[in-house]
Amino acid sequence: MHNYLDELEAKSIYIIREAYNKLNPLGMMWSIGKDSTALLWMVRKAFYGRVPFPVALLDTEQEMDEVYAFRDRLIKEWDLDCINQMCPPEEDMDQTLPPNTRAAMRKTEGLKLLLQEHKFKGIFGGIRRDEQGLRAKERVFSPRSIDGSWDFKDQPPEFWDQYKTEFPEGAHLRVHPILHWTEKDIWRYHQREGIPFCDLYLAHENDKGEMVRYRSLGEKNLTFPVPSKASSIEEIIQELETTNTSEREGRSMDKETEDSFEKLRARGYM
Amino acid sequence: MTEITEVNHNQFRVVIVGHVDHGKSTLIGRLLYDTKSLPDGKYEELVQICKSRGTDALEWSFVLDAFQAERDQAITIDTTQIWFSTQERDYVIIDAPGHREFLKNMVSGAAAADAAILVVDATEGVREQTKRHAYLLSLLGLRQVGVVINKMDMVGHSSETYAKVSKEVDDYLQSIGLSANYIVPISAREGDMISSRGDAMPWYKGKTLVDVLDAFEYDSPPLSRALRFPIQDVYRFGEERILVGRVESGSLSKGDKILFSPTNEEAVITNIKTWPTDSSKVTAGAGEVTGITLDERIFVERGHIGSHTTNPPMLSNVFRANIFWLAAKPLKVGNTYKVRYATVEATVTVQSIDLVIDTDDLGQNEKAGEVGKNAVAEVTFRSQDMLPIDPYTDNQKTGRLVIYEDYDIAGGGAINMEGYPDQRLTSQPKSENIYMVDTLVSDETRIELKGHAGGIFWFTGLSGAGKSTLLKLCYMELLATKGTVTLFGRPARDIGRDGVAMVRRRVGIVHQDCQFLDHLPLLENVALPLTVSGQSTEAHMEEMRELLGWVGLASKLRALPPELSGGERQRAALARAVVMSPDVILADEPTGNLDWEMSLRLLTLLVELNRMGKAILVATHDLNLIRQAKSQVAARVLRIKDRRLQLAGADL
Repeated sequence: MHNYLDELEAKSIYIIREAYNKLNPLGMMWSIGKDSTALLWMVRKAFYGRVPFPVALLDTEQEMDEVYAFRDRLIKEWDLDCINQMCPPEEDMDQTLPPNTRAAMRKTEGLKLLLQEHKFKGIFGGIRRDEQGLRAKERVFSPRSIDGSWDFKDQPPEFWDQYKTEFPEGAHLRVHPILHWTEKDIWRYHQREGIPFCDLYLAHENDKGEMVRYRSLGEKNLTFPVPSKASSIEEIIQELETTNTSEREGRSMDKETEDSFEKLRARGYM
Repeated sequence: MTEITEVNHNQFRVVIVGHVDHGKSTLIGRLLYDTKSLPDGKYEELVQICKSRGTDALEWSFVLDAFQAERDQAITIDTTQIWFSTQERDYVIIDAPGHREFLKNMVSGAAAADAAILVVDATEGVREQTKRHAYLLSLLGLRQVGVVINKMDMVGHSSETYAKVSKEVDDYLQSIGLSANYIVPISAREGDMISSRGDAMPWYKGKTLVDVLDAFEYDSPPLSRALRFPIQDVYRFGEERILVGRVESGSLSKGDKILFSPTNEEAVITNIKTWPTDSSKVTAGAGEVTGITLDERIFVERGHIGSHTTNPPMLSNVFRANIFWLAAKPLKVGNTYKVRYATVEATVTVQSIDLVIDTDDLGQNEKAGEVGKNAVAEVTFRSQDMLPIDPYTDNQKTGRLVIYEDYDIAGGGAINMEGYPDQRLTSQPKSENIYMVDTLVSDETRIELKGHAGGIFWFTGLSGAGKSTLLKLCYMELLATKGTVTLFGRPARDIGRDGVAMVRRRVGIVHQDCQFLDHLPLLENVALPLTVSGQSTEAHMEEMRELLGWVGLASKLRALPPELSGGERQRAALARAVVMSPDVILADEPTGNLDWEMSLRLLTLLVELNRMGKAILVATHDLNLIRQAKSQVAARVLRIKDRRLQLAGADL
């Protein structure tokens, strides 16, 4: 083992292979962002260049054009079986939710459709503990009931790399192989491995002539860039060494009410 | 690829434990402040909160409350992770709030911790939760433990108090096999000895808490240990078959001969597979996930463990474990569970609960029939299949297991093989010289079974020497023509025909030929002694199942004797011999028709019966079996020679 990135990677690949052995059919949520693309890279390492299950984009048709272009490029280059799962319209969402949270709920409903159609027993997600307090509570193999809800108040124990792999008919497991990574780790890994990523993460001029970049990629109506001059991975990492703001700073739905994110997660959000 | 200059910048995981109100939250709040890890504006907010509550003194635990409220929207039911940095590295504090679900959450969080800080109040010293938490740390295998003696400001910063409480903590930790790497006197409230030394305790020359944290080391993968490569999966891509898994200990290299357990198959590594392809990769060490190809197409699957041909894991179908139990439903004798360790999965039956330890007061109970929630116990498990096993003391990665109940993990623990033999099918042991000491025992030797209750005796001797005859004397199938046989304190001659039934109830017999009734299913054959003595099989159904599970025949209850293998018949005979709960078990050439592996399985059962307090007499000519037995239990070997019973020497 050379350095800590190898350790993080080894742990992730072990989890990926556990899920592949235990859960069938298996799928993966691929948001096209830096995290799930790094995860996809590790999937290819785990299976010697192959991606032996479908990857799915929960499509609200609100992703940025650059994101769609990047998706199409990787599908071709990496020979991906990509499911483009259309999400139900916003009018169908629970109207009591704040507007942006409601918009984010579309993904949750899209995910439900995806699970119904493909009957996945396990689905990989590229979330990390350091992103948000509630995600810090996640397990690696995290059970979801039939309606997709998450009982974060009573989670099964998980330790010594032994996971929950059995569950009642109709439920499924969310598998989180990069839960133990941080934002900085992901970028250092991108840098070391030369993993492709969407240009929107690098500083570019917005229509007001300011230099901005996206720290986190989401739908255009919900995600906003942050001021930044970082135009390379090295500079992104430098920037992260000093920043005091949160990664999901540019995600509007997290902040609408104190418990927006909790509501989203409990109802099955990633 | 860009070269990374930085070598190690991983997060270091610390769990903080201690008795309620000994100052965990205050300590964490202070630590965050002192290491400048608080979010902007949080300190000012804290000052404001304290003022509004009418106190000038800062209540550092509010920092944690506020911090958590922000991060977690006040849900503090689960393990929470708090990040901070020193100049050395980044830390994650795993905070498991004191809660009734404490154990479950602490285990999930702390099992992965690199080190622990135990907080002890200088005014109170060691309390029950101090003990309980420390005990769990030791069970979880944490070896780096720092102790802070908190609230030194409340005891006038007294070095005597520090010395007294330090000794108390250290004594306790040592009694459970832990030792404190550092014991730091602190005042979390005043900030003494957290990151700066302060002026109050000039007599203390050791490290501050932050220095202690920075001095802890990352757990380094056990590279120098024997190789363990548990197979996680087998991938078939085109022509190639790749065995993937994580090297748990030691290392493997291209060209190494690998022995797979429990199958005992061997093959040589032809390649170490990587993607993107890296032909310079010829070795994989502990902690690495890897894939190998072999020179021969031997049968290998998930759960098999690769090792080198020297120092392989033990093979056994019975093992003991020191466990902690997390589920609401208690663990009980006779229950069947799924256990996993490394990639091995096995269905096991709880054969016995040997000891239950109360984690509150560390009281020990040898008679407990079950292991309740949050209890700690020593348990013996039996599996139907032969398993590759490492004791935890030999291998901390493969030697710890988790126990599943229904869908979830219900417990975990460390494997302990003390007293159990390795059942690996090896080439027959070399024959050794046999020494006889023929002066110790005369022909007046009386076999006073009562006097030797709990002993295990081996009768050996040439064919026709009288081994079977001697056993027959013991269960009164024959009466001695000369001399005296004393059974259960009475001369056999005086017991007479009427007492035979009594004797036979107290003696269980395993015959050379099993003597089953071929038209009756196994269950009824084994229950025959019950039926004969007028008891109904139905009333004892549960015990019967348990018993047959113990001998590994739970799935054969309805099988007819002719359908069983030789080993199965012999184990069934043993079950039948103990069905009446005898005090003494006599076995006449019980392994006569069995191969070595089956013989060892039977031997293990006999040794277990002996541990339960039964006296065992075995007549056998198999000296290898006797040697094997002597390696695991104090046994006396008696040889019949020239019509005399002699005590065989220790060198047998």
